Amino acid sequence: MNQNQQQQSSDGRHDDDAAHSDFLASLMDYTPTIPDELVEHYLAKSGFQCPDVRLIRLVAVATQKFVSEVASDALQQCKARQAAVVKDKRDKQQKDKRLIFTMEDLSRSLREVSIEVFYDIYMPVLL
Amino acid sequence: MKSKPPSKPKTHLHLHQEEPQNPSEFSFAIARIAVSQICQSVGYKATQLSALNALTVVATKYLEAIAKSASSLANTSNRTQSNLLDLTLALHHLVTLHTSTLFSISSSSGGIIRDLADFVSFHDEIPFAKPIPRPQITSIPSWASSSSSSFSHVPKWLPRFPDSVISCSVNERKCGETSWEDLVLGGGGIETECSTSSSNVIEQEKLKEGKLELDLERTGKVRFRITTTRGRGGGGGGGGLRRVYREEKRACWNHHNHHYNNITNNSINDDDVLDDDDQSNGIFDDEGLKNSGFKRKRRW
Repeated sequence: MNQNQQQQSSDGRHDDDAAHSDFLASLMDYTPTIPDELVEHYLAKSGFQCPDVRLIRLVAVATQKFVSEVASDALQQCKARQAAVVKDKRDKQQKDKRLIFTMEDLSRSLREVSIEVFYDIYMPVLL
Repeated sequence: MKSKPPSKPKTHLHLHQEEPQNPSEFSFAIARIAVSQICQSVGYKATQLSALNALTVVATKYLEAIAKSASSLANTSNRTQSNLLDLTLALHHLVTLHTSTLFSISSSSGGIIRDLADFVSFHDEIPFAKPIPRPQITSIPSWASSSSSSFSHVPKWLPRFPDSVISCSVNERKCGETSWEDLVLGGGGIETECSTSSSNVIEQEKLKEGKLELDLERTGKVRFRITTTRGRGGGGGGGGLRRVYREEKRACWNHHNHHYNNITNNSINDDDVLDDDDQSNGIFDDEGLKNSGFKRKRRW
């Protein structure tokens, strides 16, 4: 049993290595939305040293994935709220055009990834 | 407080904030553009600025968190540079923190890479909205090609000084020049700053002349002579710049780079004291030595 498990894990590692190298090769074709220089700046700020561009792109892709997950989660919240309102008022078409990224949706979706965001719902009145 | 995220081909982001004032604000502004593009790709048409700023802060902190854990993992393995394994493990740690679904976390850390590969294959490329000027790798001459032995203290991998420094004469480089303001105004400690270009020398002369207006009215004419002196005196003057007024109104620069005492007002305006002819170069001795008639025989 132990030998089988070890063999499986080692096979898994070989597959992983192959997947890694394939992925890194494909990564050079894909340009992440976050520019490489910006990623390098923030990585250098925290002590990450690496001359390899592919790892920089890997980090950029990981961050992009995270942000898009949070944003899509917030979008779902927004649509869910609009659907709830539509049932009451039947202003479906008007509501669909105004998908606005609000603080409320963002705080809800960030709570899913264990990030607490505090925001004020009252705007200060400027006299 | 609502604005549209930048969309192709126009990128008009009407922000109410001011231009970035410092480098951190600048990088934050760039990150905000990228995050707004990602939001637009997800499906949003408009955003609140506060929400966009908050998400940008979260994104930058995510980047920094990846970097921190990856670098600490590398450091625990006696390495300064992180490699793929460090990065994968760091990502794995972060993902386990923020995902609540159990099936997405595999026992091996390679699952993260597979997720990213799926993301890359599934999503279209979104290039950054603004054009990014790529840094031009110009060949900077390094000290390795320099053959001058006088700069042997400089490490070879450093870039060379600009040409104006190297082309000025060796004597000028060796002379210690101080700011005339300090001397004229009687500053205490005088700093030696080697002025290494001829334009600087001209500027200093102009400065001198400006400060010397009162003196010129009184004495009429000032002549400067730069000489190369060795040895004689300079104990008090050290590496400092010494201007000496004589009957002929000659002035001279002291070329020694040694540590020197403070030069006070009294000693600077000595028109009468320095009268000696054998000190034809007008090298300054300090008051005590002068009064004792000490003849300097050493050569510096």
